Amino acid sequence: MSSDFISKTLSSNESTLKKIIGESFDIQCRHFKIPALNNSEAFVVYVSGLVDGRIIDETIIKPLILYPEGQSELTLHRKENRVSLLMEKGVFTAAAKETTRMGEAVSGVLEGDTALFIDECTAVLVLNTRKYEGRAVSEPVTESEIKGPRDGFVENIQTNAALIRRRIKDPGLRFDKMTIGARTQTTVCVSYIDGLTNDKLIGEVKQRLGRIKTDGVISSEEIQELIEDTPYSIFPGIHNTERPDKVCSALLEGRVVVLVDNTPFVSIIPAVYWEFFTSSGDYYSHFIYSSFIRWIRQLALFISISASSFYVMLTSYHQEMLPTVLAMKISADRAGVPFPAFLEAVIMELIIEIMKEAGLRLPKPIGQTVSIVGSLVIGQAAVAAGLVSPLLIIVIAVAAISSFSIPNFRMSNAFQLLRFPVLAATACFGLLGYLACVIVVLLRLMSMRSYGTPYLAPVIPFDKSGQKDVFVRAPWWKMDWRPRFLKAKEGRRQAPNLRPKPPPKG
Amino acid sequence: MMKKIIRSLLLFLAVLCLTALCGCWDMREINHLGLVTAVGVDKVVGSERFSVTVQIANPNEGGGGEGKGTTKAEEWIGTAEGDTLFEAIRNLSKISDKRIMWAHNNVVIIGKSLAQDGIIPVVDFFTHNPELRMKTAVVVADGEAKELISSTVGLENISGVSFVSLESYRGLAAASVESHMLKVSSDLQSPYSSPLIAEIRKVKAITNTEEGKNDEETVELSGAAVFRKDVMIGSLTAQECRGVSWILNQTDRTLVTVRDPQYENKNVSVETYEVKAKIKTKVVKGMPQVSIHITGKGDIAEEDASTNRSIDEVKKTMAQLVNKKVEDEVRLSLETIQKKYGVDVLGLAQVVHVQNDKEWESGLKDRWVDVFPNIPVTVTASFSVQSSTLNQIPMNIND
Repeated sequence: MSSDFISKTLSSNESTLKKIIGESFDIQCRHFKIPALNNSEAFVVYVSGLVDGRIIDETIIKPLILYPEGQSELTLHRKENRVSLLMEKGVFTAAAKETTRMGEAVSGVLEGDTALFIDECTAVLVLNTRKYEGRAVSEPVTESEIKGPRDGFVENIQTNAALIRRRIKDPGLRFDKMTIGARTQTTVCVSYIDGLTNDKLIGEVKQRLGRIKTDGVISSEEIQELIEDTPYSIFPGIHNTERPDKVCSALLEGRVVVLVDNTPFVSIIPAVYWEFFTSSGDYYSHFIYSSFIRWIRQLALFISISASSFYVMLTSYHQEMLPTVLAMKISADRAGVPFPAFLEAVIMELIIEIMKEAGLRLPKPIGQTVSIVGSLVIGQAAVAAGLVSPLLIIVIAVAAISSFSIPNFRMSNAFQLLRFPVLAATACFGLLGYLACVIVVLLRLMSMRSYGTPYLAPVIPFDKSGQKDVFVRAPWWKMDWRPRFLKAKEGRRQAPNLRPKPPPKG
Repeated sequence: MMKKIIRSLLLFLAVLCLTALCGCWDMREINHLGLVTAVGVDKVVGSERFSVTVQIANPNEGGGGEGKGTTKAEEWIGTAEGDTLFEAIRNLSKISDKRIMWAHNNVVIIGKSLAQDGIIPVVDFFTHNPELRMKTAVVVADGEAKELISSTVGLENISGVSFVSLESYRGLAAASVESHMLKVSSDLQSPYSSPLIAEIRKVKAITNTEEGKNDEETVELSGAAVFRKDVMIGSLTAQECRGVSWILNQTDRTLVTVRDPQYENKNVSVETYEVKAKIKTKVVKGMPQVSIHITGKGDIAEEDASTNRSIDEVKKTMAQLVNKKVEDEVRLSLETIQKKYGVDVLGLAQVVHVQNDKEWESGLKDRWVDVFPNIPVTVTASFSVQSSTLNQIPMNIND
């Protein structure tokens, strides 16, 4: 680019534009004359798919063409000031800005703005005419809840920001915009509540986002992998959700969230391990029931990683740990099975994984076929053929079902994968192998941190007040303080003694 | 960079070899194991050799693979001989196609002739073996252990398993005593007390099975074998075992049947509960004195005669009768143990020791074995009869 500045002649501007953005079919250029400016030549340029045509018609072209010729006020002024004059009196568009740089005009156009070029002017008006064609706000697919709001984030960052703003009307709510990706120019927003969130945390998030020098960003997961603390860890270091209510409660706790344009997933920073086992539904149900469900989830987690290992452990190593009658039953079930228990378990686990993947990929109508073939044919026939024992089918099925009760998809994936090393270690060393594997996983979890927060906080390191929202969900009137590990500027979140009481007598 | 990759690759290989090359060294598939459910030990007649009979569950038949429920009892019984117990057991593998596993063994049956010879080899072997649980029941067979192993017990499929249930309901009839490996071995090792081991025998029982067999032989748990150290010297009858059960707190919900002299001498059965025996000892002039106090509650469960007495009166009478009956039962067994056999199978030595440590240490322990038969024991029972359960008054036929 020889010069980034707008040239004085209209035709040279047009040719420069064509050089930069080419002559794609969706780039529209409309020439016209402005009577009020001595019939000066002018043209608007926009991308047809990104703009609302009616706005261009009604707020730009119509007023300019219809402006009466005799209005001397406009013509009197020097030619250089025409653009600012138009801004003040000529166009009706709400959001507009003036620029003298071609690059700025082009990037505006590519985002859905309309650029107005006028003859003999060295400035351009970039007028906001953006229209967002996209999915309507709908229920989040990956995190559905029975109670609670039904809206979920969509691909459009403006809508997503609006969903948050509608819930938090605090003037301190900030959406700090950054643009990441040399070619995609993706809008990334760092959001937090000013005056509440720890400044160091905000700075750290911005700094890590700032060092991303990449070609393009397509999804928020990409950003996450680029800014996580422990990039090799299988456990997610950043929470990621589709639910605006979850994001808002995170903001109110003093966390930072990162919105990425074109992704319905919003990242919450920092993340601690236990949050992946809570769901926003916990806060919408009775606290005793929610606490119960949290325990059920931990149980399900245990089952999902240990069930098949325990099967192998008990049938191949520690038969004395089984009750006598059960031992006989298992022995009878396994009587004709030609494989060792380990191989049997691995085969079934792999089949389950394949079925899960196939069920995900197949179009919905065929998906049913897979489940029938998978469950009936493979399960039933494998037992009938004597290749696997019926007990193992139950064990594997229970483990598979259990793994879905972890609310967070990434965490659930992590534990589904961990089953295999645990199973292998158990098959090699029995109970010792199992324990060694569990200890390794625990050590890993303990060594992790997310933006300065220990991953297992508030359990390790232990914080008494934090226990109100880990294994149990305390009633709202008890949760007076924000999670301490977030080091928010305001620790207290509500007045003390909010517990409802009957009015005093008399 | 290259070096780093090679190093991590080598580490990975090392871990892989560590896990894979050990070849699952301790792995034994459950279906390749023969789960022993009962074992019997006998002396081979006319020699010093042991004969070991194991009952191994054969789950291929007993389990019922395709959801058919229960099928006929199936077990495999094998016998082998050897100069030592261990040799006999190793010889078993000559005839067993599965590796013999002891962890699920429920009962060790000792043949009578072996018991009379000495049970040290049995207790020694089964307490050395890490697979065996110390809670395994030990019983003495009235006859050959081998024969009892192959006979059926109750309704369950595998007789070893059903023996456990038999043992667990022992307290209901209180016709035998508790004897497991841990207790037997500790009694054997203590210089003052001796083991008391439950006895089993074959009895005829009228049973109706699908094949129409009745008059089958079944196994009964009643009576107990009295040992002097490791040698069996005699038996307690079922009646005498009741007294032992009262003293050792081994029964709770049992039954006391008394005759009501005030009313036609008819039988009245009282079901007891919350039974507790307290043993108090003191040493007077070097002679220990023992008092046993048994408390408990009871419900009238069966009353064969109709009366028109008030319920309070009935309760009072019954309580007195029950007290007397229980005291008599306890005295009877004490009499037999002290006078007839003269061995401390009740573990009184420990009670005396704990309660009178000074006297025990200053000489009583050395005289214990001689003193035991002559220890005066006072027995008192105080039961309170709570209610007559549902019927407040007995059945009354009005003509």
